[in-house]
Amino acid sequence: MTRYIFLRLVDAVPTVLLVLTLVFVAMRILPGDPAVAALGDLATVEQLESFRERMGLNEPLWVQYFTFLGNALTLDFGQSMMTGSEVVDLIAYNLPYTIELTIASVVLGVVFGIPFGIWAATNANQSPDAALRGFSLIGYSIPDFYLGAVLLVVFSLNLGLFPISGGGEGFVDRMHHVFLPALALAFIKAAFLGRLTRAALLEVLGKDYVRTARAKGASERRTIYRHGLRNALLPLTTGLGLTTLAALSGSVAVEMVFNRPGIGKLLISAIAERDYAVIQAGVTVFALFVVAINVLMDLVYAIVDPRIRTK
Amino acid sequence: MTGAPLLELHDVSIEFGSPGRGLTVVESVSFAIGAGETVGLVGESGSGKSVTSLAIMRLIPGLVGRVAKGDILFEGKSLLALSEPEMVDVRGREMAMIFQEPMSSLNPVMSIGDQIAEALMLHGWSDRKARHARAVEMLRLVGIPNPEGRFKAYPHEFSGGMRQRVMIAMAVACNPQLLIADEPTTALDVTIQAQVLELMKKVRQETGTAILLISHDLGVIADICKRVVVMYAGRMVEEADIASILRTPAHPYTQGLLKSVPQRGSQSERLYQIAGSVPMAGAIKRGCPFHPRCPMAEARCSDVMPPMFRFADGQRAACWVTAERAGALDTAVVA
Amino acid sequence: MSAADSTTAPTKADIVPPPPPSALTTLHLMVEGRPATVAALAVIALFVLLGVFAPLIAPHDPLTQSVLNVNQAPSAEHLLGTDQFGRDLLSRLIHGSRNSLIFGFVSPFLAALIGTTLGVTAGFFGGFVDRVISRIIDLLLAFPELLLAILIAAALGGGFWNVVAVLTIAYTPGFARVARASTLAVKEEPYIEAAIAIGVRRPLMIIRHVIPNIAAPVVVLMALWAGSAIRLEASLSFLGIGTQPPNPSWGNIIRDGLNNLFGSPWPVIGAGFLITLVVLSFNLIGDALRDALDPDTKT
Repeated sequence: MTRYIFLRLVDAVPTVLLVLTLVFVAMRILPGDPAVAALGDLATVEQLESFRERMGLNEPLWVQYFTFLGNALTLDFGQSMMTGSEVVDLIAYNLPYTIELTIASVVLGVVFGIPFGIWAATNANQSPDAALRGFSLIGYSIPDFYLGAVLLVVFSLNLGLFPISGGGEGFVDRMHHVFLPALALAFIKAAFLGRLTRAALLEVLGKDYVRTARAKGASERRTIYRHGLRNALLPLTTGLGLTTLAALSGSVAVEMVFNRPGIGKLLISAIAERDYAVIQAGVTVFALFVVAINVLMDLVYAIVDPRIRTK
Repeated sequence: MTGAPLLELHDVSIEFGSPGRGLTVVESVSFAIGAGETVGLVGESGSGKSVTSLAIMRLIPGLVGRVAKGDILFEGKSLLALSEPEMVDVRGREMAMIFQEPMSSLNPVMSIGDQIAEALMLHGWSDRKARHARAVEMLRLVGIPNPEGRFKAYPHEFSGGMRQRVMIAMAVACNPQLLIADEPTTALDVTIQAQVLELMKKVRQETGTAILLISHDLGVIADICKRVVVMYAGRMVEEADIASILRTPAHPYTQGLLKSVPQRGSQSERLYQIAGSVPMAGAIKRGCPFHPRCPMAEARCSDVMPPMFRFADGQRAACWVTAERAGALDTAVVA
Repeated sequence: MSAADSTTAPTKADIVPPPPPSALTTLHLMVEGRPATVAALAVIALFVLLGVFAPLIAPHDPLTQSVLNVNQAPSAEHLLGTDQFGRDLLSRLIHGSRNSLIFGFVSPFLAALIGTTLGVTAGFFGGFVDRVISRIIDLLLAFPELLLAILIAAALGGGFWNVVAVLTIAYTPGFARVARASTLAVKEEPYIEAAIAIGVRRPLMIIRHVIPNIAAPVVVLMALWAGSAIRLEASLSFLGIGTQPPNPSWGNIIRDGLNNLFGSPWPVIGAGFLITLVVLSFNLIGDALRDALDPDTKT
């Protein structure tokens, strides 16, 4: 097990390097001159030159690449052009809000989606199943930012039950702030997890070992939960990872709707203001997040599945 | 056989699909198993033998199929009349089952020891240590090397033959009166097959359990069973002790089945084949299901299903022609 | 199935795969007993007509501002009212459908083209080619499409062609994976081995056998991702990195509307409703297509 964790972590290293390289390539090569991109078409030659000097854009590409790698690995992302503050401080301030939102929405999605899926699977082709199908169709179709806007209008603006913007201070206040945005994101998560749980459970309940469990005298309940759901956890783990990633990407638009601090809002504002250093940092943080969640998912998988664990 | 039989099937018909309008896949099957007796159930795939065994365990999902007619008695009590919780208590304790697919019949995320211990826990073994000890004892009984150390091992760490041993250990852990084995050796290599059959004999000797062995292979059944029931296309066609079946098969289907078994030392150039192919269960609605393929078929065979006739030595078979030849036409058994 | 089949020699039927169902059969399978699919097809047909004939149908120019007519409630003149610049909302929504239409069809199509080519290439040739393509596909697949699109848009900036590029890149790895997996599976099929045995040349084989076999899953994905692409474009435009104002897109109509919620709630409600309806319809059609073409797949 320890060996597996170690190997998986080692395996993530080239992925991280590849991701950082792609970020570098995307930022330096694709959009043309980053100085023009940052300062706009109207910038003077002097302004452009001073920008290039400051950002190290006059160095040879490979020097820039290793500088970028080194800085990324030591969390040195330079200063924001707009506010002058250290980018790492901006990240450190905003990151907890994004993590909070991501976790809250995944928790809500799990709490609603998995029981819904079990209910549908144990009543396959009956009304609970149809209800799940209807719910997931709508869940898959309604954009989370639109749902967020509706929730904001109804529960915050009209009913005044929830705050209109911001991230909150202290645990209770922060939970109060995070609830509606998390709910907006959780809708599609619940739809996805519900369908996945249903499909996984139905598949598992048709397996030979479930018949074995019944044959040795396990009750229907025990058969479903102890044998069925325990095995359905394997595909669900993958689904949970995907859901977490989807929550992370959905958080960007939802943070905008609810005017909440977070990496997504930071990144989008930086794009609007062409704040080069912040864009680069935001993109890097998101990309590393994705790698980290994938690694975490594999580790959870190893815990759930003895076939991987004992290899 | 002494006293009331352990398990009795009375005129059992099993229907798949919607109630009343479904397909009858097993029709009018009657046989009995005495305590400690070993009975074989032989037939080609699709003959309804596995469905029959699942019906005894009441493991056919209600939406899929059901016993439409007849009754199944265990120690004189109707299993069909039991509530589901009562039936749950019977499964694993009174009668246990092992399956054809050892590779997929064990829960992949539970250690084999835990799976055996679970069977015990479900049937009143409340003490954890006692369960553990019993599970290890069972693993030793079925010949798993180093049973203490292998308790925590997972199914994927075992070969198919070893997994089938674990299945047997799990099945007999609660000392069931009846062990149903549905093609227990079919998925295994020939040498492993022999080992597993030896193990079943040993288990029968040590626990005294009755066994219903289901197989398409008459050789496997002859190796271990005293009596055999032959099924064809959902119908029971013959029942006899194994010696009679091998010596004087009464039903033309059984005769064909025996002729198509390769004989050691036989010089015959080609293996016997029964002409035609196995019909879908329930496809032949009139007459004897075997009549389209039967070399002896007469007009009445395609018209009326023969009842079971008594032949000599307690042998029974459902055939107009051979019963007439044996002068057994007036011995029809009414189920 | 009768047991006699197993004793006879393999016939032509065993070697040649069954032909994929015709378009008409597929359509019949899709709508039979599924009124929701019929409704979804009608919605999409209407949506296509709206998009294609937007300039003829829209009652007003979507870009004309009018200081005198800002934030009007629905009226006979402006059926859905106006936004904070006095632009006719109905006309903007109709023109916005043109945008969504283009992204919904063009990006998955381009992605299918590129992705399938990559996947078939990787799957068929294997070895080094496969390793390189697979590694990149795996990495891109680790990112959710939306996040990938946001990250690329962050680097590229907004604008029509950039959004087309972003969406295409976002969906390419998915197609590539499906095409690669299907190609690998098809390669093992007896009829491919048979084709090799009788001397059919490899490139010919790809066209003759692999492509028709993966057509079904690819078409299903295209339908499912048409809805997804429309949602994605809306998200990007909502974030200000998709379709740039003043050009109308359902996403940026919601963006503008949200800033002007107290002026008029109609832009947010109208555009949100349309996105949901159209995406829902595409999802229904995708599900029906999958069931019709690929009955084995579980949902």
